[in-house]
Amino acid sequence: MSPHEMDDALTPDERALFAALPRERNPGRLLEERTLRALRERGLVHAAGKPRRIIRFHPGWLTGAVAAGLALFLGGLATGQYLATRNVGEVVAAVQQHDQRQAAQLVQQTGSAYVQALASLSQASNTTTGTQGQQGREVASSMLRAAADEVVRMNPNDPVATGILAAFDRAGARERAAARPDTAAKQSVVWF
Amino acid sequence: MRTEPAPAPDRALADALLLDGDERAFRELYQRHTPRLFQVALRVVGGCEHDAEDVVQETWIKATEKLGTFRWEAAFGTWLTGIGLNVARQLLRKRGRWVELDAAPEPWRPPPHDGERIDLERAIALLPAGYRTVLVLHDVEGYRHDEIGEMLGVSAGTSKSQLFNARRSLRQALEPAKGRMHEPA
Repeated sequence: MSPHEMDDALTPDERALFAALPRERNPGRLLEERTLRALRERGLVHAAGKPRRIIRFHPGWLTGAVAAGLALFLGGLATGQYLATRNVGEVVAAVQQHDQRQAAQLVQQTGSAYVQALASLSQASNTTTGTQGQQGREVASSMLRAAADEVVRMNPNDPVATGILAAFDRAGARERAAARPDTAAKQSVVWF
Repeated sequence: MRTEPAPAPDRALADALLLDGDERAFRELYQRHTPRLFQVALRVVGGCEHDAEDVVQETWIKATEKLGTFRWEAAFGTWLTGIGLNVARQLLRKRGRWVELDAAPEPWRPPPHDGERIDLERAIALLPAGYRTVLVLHDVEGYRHDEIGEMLGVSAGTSKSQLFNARRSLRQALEPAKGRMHEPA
């Protein structure tokens, strides 16, 4: 027994006082209704006579569900094994063909979007400030150059793409020359 | 002679509530256990009936939600009281009136003496929340220190030390009105 307990035991009078305290108190009917309402709102209690609908599974249904699940699992397993043992070359070729088709579609879609965006820029250039139009043209040019680079990488002899890149090179040379003090007055707009 | 049917045990009512959401089962459980729960909650929150009602409502909501996890190793009323204590503690903490029991003794000063008699109920209500809770659980409700420790998430030693402080403070509060209740040996 700790010193606390020895010094602190209740006297008989104190015990009697505590024993006389009421142990129960009824809060009233309103609280019961309020609590029930809160439970009903949470779906934890249902009105008398309306028991909660519980889905009870018939044993036959459960057996069927287990069998179906098993069949699905085994089917997946068999398919996986079949795919794994197929000729790998065929699979790779099919995947590559599929990828190429997808990539071509992507180029077509983004190319259309690029042209549409340029058309919009062209129309907007009439109304927007000079700086914004200039920025738009610069972005359009760099995109065009990047696209031409990719085409040349795919086909180094492509006449259109090589022509575009040559024009960019010529324009770059002109800009550098125009940037020099002695040639500052030269034309700075490039047409191609 | 017609005899009343034996009341359904708590477990049967709890099962009906859990499985079917049976309102009648809930009402019976509620009416059986709420008077005691309400009295404990009222003392723990310091005598405010409105707060005690909120505690009782929230306790029943939590108890109904967690009914499926109750393993019936303790009495249903004890389990319910444990939930009620946690709800009451949350409410007191929200209002800045709860100091963690492992911390230093709660600051407390006896109420000013105006010559009026302070009864035990009032004196309990004036104690700091932590002291009051342990005192109510031990000296009024009759729980052991290990049970109190489990309910409040503290050790039995902490519960004992809180009870020591609570009784000393209670005696100070009652002293002017009733004379010294207990002279230390």
